[in-house]
Amino acid sequence: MANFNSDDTASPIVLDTSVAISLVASRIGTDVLKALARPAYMIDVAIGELADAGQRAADVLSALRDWQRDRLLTEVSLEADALEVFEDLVSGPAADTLDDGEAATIAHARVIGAVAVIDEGKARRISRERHPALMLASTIDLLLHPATERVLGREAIAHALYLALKDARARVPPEHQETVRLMLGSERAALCHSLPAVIRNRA
Amino acid sequence: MSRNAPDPKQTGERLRKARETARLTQADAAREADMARTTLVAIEQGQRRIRTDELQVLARLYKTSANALLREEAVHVDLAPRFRKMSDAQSDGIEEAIALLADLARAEVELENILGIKKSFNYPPERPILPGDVRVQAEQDATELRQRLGLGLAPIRDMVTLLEMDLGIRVFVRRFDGRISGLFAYDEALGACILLNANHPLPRRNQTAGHEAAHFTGTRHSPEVLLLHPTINSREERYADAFARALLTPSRAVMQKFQEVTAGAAQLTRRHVIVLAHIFGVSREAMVRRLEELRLTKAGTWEWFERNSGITDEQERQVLGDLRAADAGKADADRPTTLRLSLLAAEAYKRELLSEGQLARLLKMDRLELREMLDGLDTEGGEADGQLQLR
Repeated sequence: MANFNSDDTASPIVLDTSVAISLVASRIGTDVLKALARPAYMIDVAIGELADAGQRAADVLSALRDWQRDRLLTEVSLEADALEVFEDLVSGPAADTLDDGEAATIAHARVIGAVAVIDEGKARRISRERHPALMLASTIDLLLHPATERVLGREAIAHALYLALKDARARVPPEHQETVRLMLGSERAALCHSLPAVIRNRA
Repeated sequence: MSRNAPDPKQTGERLRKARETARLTQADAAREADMARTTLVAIEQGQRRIRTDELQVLARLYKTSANALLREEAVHVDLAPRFRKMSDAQSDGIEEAIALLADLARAEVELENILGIKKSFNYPPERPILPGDVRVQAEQDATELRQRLGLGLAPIRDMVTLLEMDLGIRVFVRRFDGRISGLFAYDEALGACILLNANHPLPRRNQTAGHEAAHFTGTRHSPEVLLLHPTINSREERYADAFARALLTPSRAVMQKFQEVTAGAAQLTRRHVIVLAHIFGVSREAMVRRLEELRLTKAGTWEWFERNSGITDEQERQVLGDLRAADAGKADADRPTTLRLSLLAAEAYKRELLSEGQLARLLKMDRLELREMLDGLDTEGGEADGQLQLR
């Protein structure tokens, strides 16, 4: 499995809906995308999920439109050669499939050689199993990336992490849970219910 | 072609149902999707395999997803067409309630299928309504059901649990248009399903549940909408009303309790009505009308109460105090989805059988609402889960 890391300074990123929601909640999404300084994409079906889905989804959509206007994010449709990967990810037994936005994010990243940024556990597992060469990242990877830290500083990132976890219940991949707890401190970590109880209640 | 290439016939059938749920004709759908109508017809009939880009367009048009159309376990049942045969099922409120029932039932069945849960049904045989007095038949059928369930003459304080646990009917208590009391539908894939209105007080919902239980018993294969103020007085509706009265307030039990509660009194008072209605879990009006029907009080007693300031909730509070039943149904209806559905969803998420995106779409919830619900159930394993292994 390929991991997104500090050595990667140029690969484009493809954001899933789950990541867009958490990044917007962090309040530093604009700065993160600027700091990462690379093309960022979202697929139209992943963005479309936020339409007609209530006020909170509308707020996320509005932030995405701002990013598009500022040329920090580009909305794309799946290209012909990504459709086969997409179909393979959406058809079959429920346990082996993903919803359209998640599948499209993986399919597009796979075809253009980008990093798929997905927080969702099942989507990450399926991606690792079926597309082991595809580089994966999460919202937390974007926030903890050295380029982000250079621009924003550690304390601002810790606060952004807290907002993403508290307001959007951002999912934290297991490998980052302890780091996130240490950055937040036990008081703030205790208020973040998307962290497993065993982590957030650790003194 | 993908390794899970779906069967064109099954995909075509699912697309047809999705189009009908979206209330689009083939001509409209083909025009909107920018394809020839003959192409859409061929796809729906399974004669032509749909291309993935076409599938994406149709999924968007039908307000669903390619995954929801291609996922093997997905349940594709549209209850609306059978309700449309009913003359009073055309209003917006009713259509929304039908869609709500269908969404809840489909999600529950799909989650059960994915989790490998076999729901046990314990349906009694149907008792078709025969020529003759429907009230007599309803009394007999309700008594038979009581006997089958081993209820004797005991009051039924919780109709929802009785219908769910003892009969295996899917019962959902949610908030919807207050002009509608409840819905009943039966489908081979979903089983028997009842939707009750959480905007109505508990005694009213019990009566609605009794009424829908009558349709389950007597006219199982016909869907039914019960309005708060019914406009139809058919034999089926008279049967259902009489069945509900006999089920919830069996004549012998009412006579016995009436004697106990009014012992020594010369008149029927508000206090008597409040206590009896509480015992049987029905509204005060339903209780008085049953007393009138059983000739335990004069005809017109309810109208007399109404002319003389009625019987108020405050009086009920004074009489019953802490004995007033808590209404868990309303609290559950204020959650984003039912407690059972949220538990099934949390388990499917925890076991990575369904993703966040799949669950949000299946339960028709936004992602944040879903995350809050899953975190509330602590799918990562917390204090509420404890450490005890069930197996």
